[in-house]
Amino acid sequence: MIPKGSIIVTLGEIIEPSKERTDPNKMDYPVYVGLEHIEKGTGKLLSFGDSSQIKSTKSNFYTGDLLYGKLRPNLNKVWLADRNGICSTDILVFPHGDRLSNKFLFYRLLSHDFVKYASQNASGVELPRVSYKNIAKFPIILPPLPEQHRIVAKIEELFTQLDAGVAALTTALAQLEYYRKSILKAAVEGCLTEEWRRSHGTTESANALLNSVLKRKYDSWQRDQFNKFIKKGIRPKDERWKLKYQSPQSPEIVNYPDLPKGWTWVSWDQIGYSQNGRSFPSKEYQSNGIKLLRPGNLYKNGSVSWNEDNTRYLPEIYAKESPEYIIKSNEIVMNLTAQSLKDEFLGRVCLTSEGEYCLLNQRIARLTPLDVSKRYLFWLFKSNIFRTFVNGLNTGSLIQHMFTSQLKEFILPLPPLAEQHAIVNEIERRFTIIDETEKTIQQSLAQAERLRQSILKRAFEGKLVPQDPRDEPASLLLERIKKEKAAAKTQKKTTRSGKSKTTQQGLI
Amino acid sequence: MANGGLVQKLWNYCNVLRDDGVSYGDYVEQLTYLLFLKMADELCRPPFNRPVIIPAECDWNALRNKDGSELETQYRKTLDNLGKKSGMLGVIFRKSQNKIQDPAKLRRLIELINDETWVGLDVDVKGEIYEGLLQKNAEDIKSGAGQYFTPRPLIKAMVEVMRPQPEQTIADPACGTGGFFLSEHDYIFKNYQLDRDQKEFLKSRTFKGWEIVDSAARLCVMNLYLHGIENEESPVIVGDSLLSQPSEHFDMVLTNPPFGKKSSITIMNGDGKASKESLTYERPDFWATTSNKQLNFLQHVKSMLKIEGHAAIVVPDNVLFEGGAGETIRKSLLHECDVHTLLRLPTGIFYAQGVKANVLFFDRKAASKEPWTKNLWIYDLRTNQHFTLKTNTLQFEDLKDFIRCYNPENRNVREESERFKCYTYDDLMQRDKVNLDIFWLKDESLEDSENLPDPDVIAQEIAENLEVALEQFSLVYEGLKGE
Repeated sequence: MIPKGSIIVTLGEIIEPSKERTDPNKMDYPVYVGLEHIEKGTGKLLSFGDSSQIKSTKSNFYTGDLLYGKLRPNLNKVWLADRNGICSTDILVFPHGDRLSNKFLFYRLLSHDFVKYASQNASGVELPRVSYKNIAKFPIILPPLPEQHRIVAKIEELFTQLDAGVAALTTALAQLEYYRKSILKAAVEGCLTEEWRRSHGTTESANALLNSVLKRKYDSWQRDQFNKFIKKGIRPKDERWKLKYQSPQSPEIVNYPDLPKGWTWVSWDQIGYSQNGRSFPSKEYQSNGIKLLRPGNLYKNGSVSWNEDNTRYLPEIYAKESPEYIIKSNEIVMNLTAQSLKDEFLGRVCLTSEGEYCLLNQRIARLTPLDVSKRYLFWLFKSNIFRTFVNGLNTGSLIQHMFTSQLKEFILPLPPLAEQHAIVNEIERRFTIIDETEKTIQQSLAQAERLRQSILKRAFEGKLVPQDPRDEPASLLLERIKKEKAAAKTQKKTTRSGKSKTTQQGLI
Repeated sequence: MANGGLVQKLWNYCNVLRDDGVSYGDYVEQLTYLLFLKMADELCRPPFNRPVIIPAECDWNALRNKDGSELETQYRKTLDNLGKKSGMLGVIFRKSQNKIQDPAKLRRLIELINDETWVGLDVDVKGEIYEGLLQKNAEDIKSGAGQYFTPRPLIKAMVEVMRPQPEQTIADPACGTGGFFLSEHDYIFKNYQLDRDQKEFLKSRTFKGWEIVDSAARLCVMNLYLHGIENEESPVIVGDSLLSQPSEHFDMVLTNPPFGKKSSITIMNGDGKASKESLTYERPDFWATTSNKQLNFLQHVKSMLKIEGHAAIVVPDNVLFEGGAGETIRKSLLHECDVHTLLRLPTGIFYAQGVKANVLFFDRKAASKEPWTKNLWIYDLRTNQHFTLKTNTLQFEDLKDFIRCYNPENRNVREESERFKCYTYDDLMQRDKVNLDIFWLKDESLEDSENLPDPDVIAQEIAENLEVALEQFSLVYEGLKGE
């Protein structure tokens, strides 16, 4: 069902590529366009090349010409020239004229159905190319020339609006990441729980918590020492061995920002233990058994991820031999080695999920807090406070390492236990909203791309703009084109002269 | 101060009526009618002794001694009758209705108004009360009245750089509640020593406005009237200014056309659709036909200017980047006019959601082969600026640097600065689709910097971007639906 005034033609009936070649030694055009300069599927030019570097024969193009890359047509490289230049011979140049709107054809070639057709009709395996002969057979609905212009204007109006919407969504997506960071910062500074503190009055202060934790550490050390004596068969005569205890260093709080009421600065050494992983032999890797936790399993979003590509298994016997290296549910694990400071990979923390069961490989540490909320610490390690600490550790070396000895000295803000839980709740509440928003935006972005193609489809079915019965029918247009082609064949071939940029406006 | 007390009284009464279900918008309307009747009454007595314009059976006297259902009936009759008159009277009372259900409260309001002498009151006071109510009304987001209200600091800044002069004609094809007119009036009054003829000109022949919605036009006329600007004919025409080619041309046009595709017809005028607006206008003086309302206003403004006339128009980003008709219009504008300044406005200053706006300044020129625009100076007041409608509102001070950079005394002598850059005609024409949505400053909310903004600042930015996205996709949807 084609609209009134339009006709169906094949591309070959209306366009033919220019045969104008050029000797680059005689070139005075500064611009060279190769396939690498055209963005796939968008019709945009990414950059230019310098034609003085080009030695082999190329094709000429002029402002207003339509360029189509025939190599790898699935990449859909199309461009409407806004200046004169030369291009690769793998690019077909369709000259501009006033019989057809090259802009109309430009959008036509960007449409999905043409891309599919060209890709299916390409030949060659390593370097698939579609020939003009094949492209020429592609049928399209050709509207009257004024309608072509109207269609182009409408497409551009809708596309610029669409682009603006996509840009806004993309910006919002990027801002969500900063929003997360900002929330974490506010969380560990106590800003998220201001209201909570007001309504909950005094709870056990962090200092009290700290003292009980320090005592537990001391007791724990004593027990360990005692067990060691027993193993060796020693019975201590007095208590003096207890003096050997090196209590965790109290952090030196100089120039640290003030903390909210009830909070205190502590060092990691004071409130938790770090355990390094073991080096397990990679030649023992097999296709089943117990999973081995490696840096590649620690995802940016804080969860541990296992898939076919990133999972290695070890024989079960290693679990039996090294039970102290088994990682289970709800444990904090941290990556200690990275190639750079990028992506916050160095010092990246994850919290294992319910039912986790794997071995702790070298270069990863297990962090165990005493009486402090694990989730609070998890979020703390994801916040800017820890990030700043990590970034400041090693400078200059190529591969970044973090040592558990360095980790001991990390100073962090500790709220009272009840407030820790409140903070975690606040963070997680907001983060779930952000996650939802992120999903919605990504979905909308995907839909926007389909919308683009949908608009083109509508346009080329002739349903985007109304027909105008006063337009000269396309059949007459086609006749004129045919006459011109016939006339041109009998004439001697002459080089087209370059046209300046300003005439481009009149033709499009 | 006695005047302060009056303002307070009227505010308080507004709140009393609010609890009765009378919105700010309704209150302002009723106040308009009653105040006008009272002032007309004062004017026909000594010492003014002006000719009577209101028939005795609908004047103030007939109203103020009644109460109960008698009062209700009289009031209704009055409104009805006066709504049929021509000129300013007609504009103020057209389709007017009583919204105060309780006649005792109506009576109380009448008494309040009766106790004061209004005509003698300082113009500024009256203006302040009225403007204050209009502002409050605009803040009531649900009512949608905000779209008729341009932030006053912005208007003031625009007037400061445009510098209207005595005996110039000034128009606004989308005048809303008349904010631009008042500011222009003030500016001329304060900066010049006007002789009697000039004063007369300022009062009755300077300003001309169009407003499509009855209730807004009503408030505009009343607003002007309270500020001493009046004309028997009414300086404001109620209707769609885009319908036809301008028959008059003006020295100056300052305007903020409504955002969005259609006006929100549900504000204040409980009438439902007051008029059927078309979206596309076929006009011989237009460069392109489009359903984009703001692009149409842009074309219309240029058309209503005298040659060498000056314009300042608030436009959303779409006017600067939309392809198709937008590109054609921008090209023509740059050619036929001297488009010399663009002010990128911050977000969070208008009552409309999802709008990023700018002020475009241009002069209309005589026909010429060569393009008139040589340089476009752009001031970026948007990047890294965060305003809100309640807690961090835009102040005149925030626009002072722009005014300084603009250099109204001589705009041919300007200097670039961090926020002020110059683009040549060639620079502009080379941009894809002549896109004038230009910026160069880095957005802090996207920078990996030490200075992470507060969560609520970023949240606001995200919300704004989502609103912009929503607005754009709605436009695409509308654009596809329409054909």
